[in-house]
Amino acid sequence: MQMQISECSIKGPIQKSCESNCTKTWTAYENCSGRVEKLVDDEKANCLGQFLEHIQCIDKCVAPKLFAQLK
Amino acid sequence: MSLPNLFYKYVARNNSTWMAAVVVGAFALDTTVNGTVNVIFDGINKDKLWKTVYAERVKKGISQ
Amino acid sequence: MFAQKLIGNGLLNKVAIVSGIVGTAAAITTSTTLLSDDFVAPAKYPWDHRFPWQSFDHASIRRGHQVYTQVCSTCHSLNLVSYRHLANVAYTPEELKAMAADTTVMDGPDSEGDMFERKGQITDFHPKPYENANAARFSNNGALPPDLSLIIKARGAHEDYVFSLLTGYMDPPTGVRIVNGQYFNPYFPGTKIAMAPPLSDGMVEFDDGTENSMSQMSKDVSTFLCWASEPEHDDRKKLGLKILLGLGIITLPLFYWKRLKWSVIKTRKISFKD
Repeated sequence: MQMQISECSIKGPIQKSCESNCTKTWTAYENCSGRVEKLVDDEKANCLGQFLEHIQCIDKCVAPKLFAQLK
Repeated sequence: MSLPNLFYKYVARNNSTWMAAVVVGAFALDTTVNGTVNVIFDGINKDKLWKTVYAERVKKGISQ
Repeated sequence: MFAQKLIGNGLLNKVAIVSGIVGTAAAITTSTTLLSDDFVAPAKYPWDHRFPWQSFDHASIRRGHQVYTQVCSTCHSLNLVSYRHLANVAYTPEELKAMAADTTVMDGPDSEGDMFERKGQITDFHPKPYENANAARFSNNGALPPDLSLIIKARGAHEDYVFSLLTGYMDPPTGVRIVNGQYFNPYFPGTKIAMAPPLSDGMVEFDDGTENSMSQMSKDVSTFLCWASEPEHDDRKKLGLKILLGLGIITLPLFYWKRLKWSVIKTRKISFKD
């Protein structure tokens, strides 16, 4: 998975490490991206829904780990 | 005599002693409950309260 | 056997139907139904003050106030919080007096009816970045930066939302077009926010030596705003514990009192004569 999700110094790496928990939502997002990229003329086609679901999944894993590293 | 009986004989039986007990009891309860909870709450949250934070800062020399 | 009888009578069915209706009605009337999920519901973060017996982390409130004054206050007002409110919460009164003295306040009218400028006092409120909402909109591309005094109470997921939003800026997903002056943030309803990413690593220097990462600053400013929305928080939680303990103790004498008053009625004998 190549996508840089957040540029936060502490949240970013934790999100990266959490990506392995959410391969299902990520696959759905990538499949959608593949479809949307073919629709060059369609200005409204996007993968927002799949992306938000992926973020939601990652967040569940991030929340406890992130606050453990903060003061 | 058991405790409830003693209580009845000396406190609950006469209205005067009963009312006195209510008034005294209210003050005693207020003080104990306030004191207990303050001690417990401050104990649980010791490191987060301002007085601890401030004392720590003074110790480190970053606050007057 | 009894259950079979009930089913036979259709009573259980009725109970199921009624409880179903009641349950649905309760869910509709008391819960938030998000009809359009065009944003991510923020995760529940383990805040230092999340349980009923936990106070705020006051060191965090202090750092959060530093983040607010050095970063947020250039666009966001904090109308309901004055300097004195922070006394013995995150600063000493002396620190606050010095802080307020650095500001200039428009006061008046004086005896001649003119407005005049004076040095800030501890009783003054935080200075406003803009004169009014129109000026704020004009300077921000038409978007109004909301007042932050009660922002934690005014947003659905409270401090979780503010923290997620501040740490949530990222590249937009495939196909989502972001126009100039907008930024992609999955936690903002609609996902397109007019606020530029406000924080970056090392932006604010904390005097207590805490690492000034972006996540840390976001957490601290969320805690500070949470305090601003609910300054009575610590006392409220303490009072709750006191009431629970007090009522718990009062149960015993009340039980005795009830038995005492009823003893006459419970022990009486009634005899009937022809």
